[in-house]
Amino acid sequence: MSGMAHASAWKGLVGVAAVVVALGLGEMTEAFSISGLTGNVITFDTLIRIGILVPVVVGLNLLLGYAGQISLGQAGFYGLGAYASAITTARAGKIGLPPSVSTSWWWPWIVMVVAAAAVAGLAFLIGRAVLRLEGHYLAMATLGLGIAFFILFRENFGIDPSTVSLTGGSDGISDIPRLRIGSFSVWPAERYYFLVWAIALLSIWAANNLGRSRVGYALRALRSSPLAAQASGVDVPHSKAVTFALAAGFASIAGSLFAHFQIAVSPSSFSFAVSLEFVIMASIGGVASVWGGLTGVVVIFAIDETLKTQLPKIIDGPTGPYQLTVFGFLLAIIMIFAPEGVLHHFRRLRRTSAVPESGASS
Amino acid sequence: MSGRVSLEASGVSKVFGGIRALDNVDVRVDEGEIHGLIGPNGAGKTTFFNIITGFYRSDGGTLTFQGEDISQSTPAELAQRGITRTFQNLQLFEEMTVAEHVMVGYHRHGTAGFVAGLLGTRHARQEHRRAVEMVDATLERFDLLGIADAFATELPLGHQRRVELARAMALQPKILLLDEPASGLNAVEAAELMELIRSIRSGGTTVMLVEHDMPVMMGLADTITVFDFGISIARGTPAEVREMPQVIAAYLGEETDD
Repeated sequence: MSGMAHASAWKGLVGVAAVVVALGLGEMTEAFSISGLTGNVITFDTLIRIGILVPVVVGLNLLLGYAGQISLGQAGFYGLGAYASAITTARAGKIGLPPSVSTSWWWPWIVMVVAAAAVAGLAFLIGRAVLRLEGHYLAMATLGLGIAFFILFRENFGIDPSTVSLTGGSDGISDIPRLRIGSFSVWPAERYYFLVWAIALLSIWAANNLGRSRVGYALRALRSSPLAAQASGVDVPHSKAVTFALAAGFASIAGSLFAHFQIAVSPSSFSFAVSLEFVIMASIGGVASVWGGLTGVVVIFAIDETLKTQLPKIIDGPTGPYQLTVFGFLLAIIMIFAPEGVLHHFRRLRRTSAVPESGASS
Repeated sequence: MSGRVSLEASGVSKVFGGIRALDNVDVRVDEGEIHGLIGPNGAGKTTFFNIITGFYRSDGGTLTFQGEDISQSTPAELAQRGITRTFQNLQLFEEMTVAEHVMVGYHRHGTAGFVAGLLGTRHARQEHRRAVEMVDATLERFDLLGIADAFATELPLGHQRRVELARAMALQPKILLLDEPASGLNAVEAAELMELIRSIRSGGTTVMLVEHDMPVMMGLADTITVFDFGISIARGTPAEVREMPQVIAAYLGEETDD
């Protein structure tokens, strides 16, 4: 049973990688471009933004789709990664880092990794406490957590800005350096695109591996019956907390990538609305599907960008409110007809037709 | 039957909001036996199961497994040590196939954790391959191969009970606790179940059984402990227990649900 799943997962990964490389090369050589292919609906910039968010949603999918635990505070962990990268580079002097370290090419990479580990560690501790809650209570607790981080970013972690401004308050931090490898700059955008998508595909690959390991089975089991999972030897509280930590670590890395892409961060990128969008992206992809992460990000971006470019053609004046309305309406439809995810819904349909009589064999 | 003690509870009590669900009960299960636990409804049988398997903490008394204290262990720790159970109200995993249920049962034989899982290390992959082979063997033993890829929650009850049993046996437990495995089964299915439980015991697993279906219980159990109102009132072979006046008194005039 596993051999086939393994092979198809690999095929999928190679397929996506091929598309990613083709689009990147097309853009670099100006042979064709995504903007041209989609009539300017999706730009190359959008592709990078999609790639940045893939690890967040893949991580969230492990938490939500596999372990069945909601997090409405994922933007907080995403923000922690972004601010860690921003503060330790653009504000290195303020926190007493010697320029020889903070301006070296390797420093931002180390920060990215260490921040992800620290954020994961923090999330593990929070998770041990918070993940005792279930359903709405867990949703509320993680929502509060996300808002708490948001306030910390905006309020400079409670430090008096006249002594040191770490986060720049609501203005945020600008002048974040681009990433380099030695003297090789990971910029212009075509280069950053390849970095971002390498990490995105790596996150999909890793989550796929996990899903096929004994941990993946344990997580899917504890989602619907923690009792039976425990009776099978699964340490449920620990498994949930580690998954929460993992999702937070993935989000932190994405946050760092975002900071070095945008070269400026401000609290509004890490608000509750962003957390909600992450959950929607993860939900669209569906239950226990690593591909769901990618699908969710792409679908939401596609809807978003289509509305942004098409609505002005039919409506005069500001289209923002209309865009939100249409977006909300589409989401409502998806949630009503495919609550466990669009991708999952289709797989399920295929499956029911493939297994006609389950009880027939005995 | 080695005659060694598998599980021993002495003076175990459990209080729920002032009500003594269990009051100083003594139960001894020997290795290799099928030990039955009977008693009228509300006698404390399921509470006792929940204490042994770590889902409840006892409020006093000692609980040992193979001579070691297990009163503070979590269900997962106990499962890792070879104590597992099935549930009276079936506990199946949604959106998981029969084969995947058995795969979860195999969890305790693996060691690959999150990091090995994420990286897909050789160790994790080999472990997974071994697990798949083992799952197939278990499916075959429980006659589930034909429905291996069906979602367990969509099967008829008789099959679902078999899936629970297969999942529990995938742990290769030292002792298996069955909470009313025959409830809802027809006579043919019950007879099949009895055969399965006997084969589990002859495979070296000690079995502890709560069951309202008296023919099943009397046909299977080597030893029976009788609970009434949270107290253990009798212990003996099925034939002995049936004749004991205190057991007859406990059941007479009581409404049992079979």
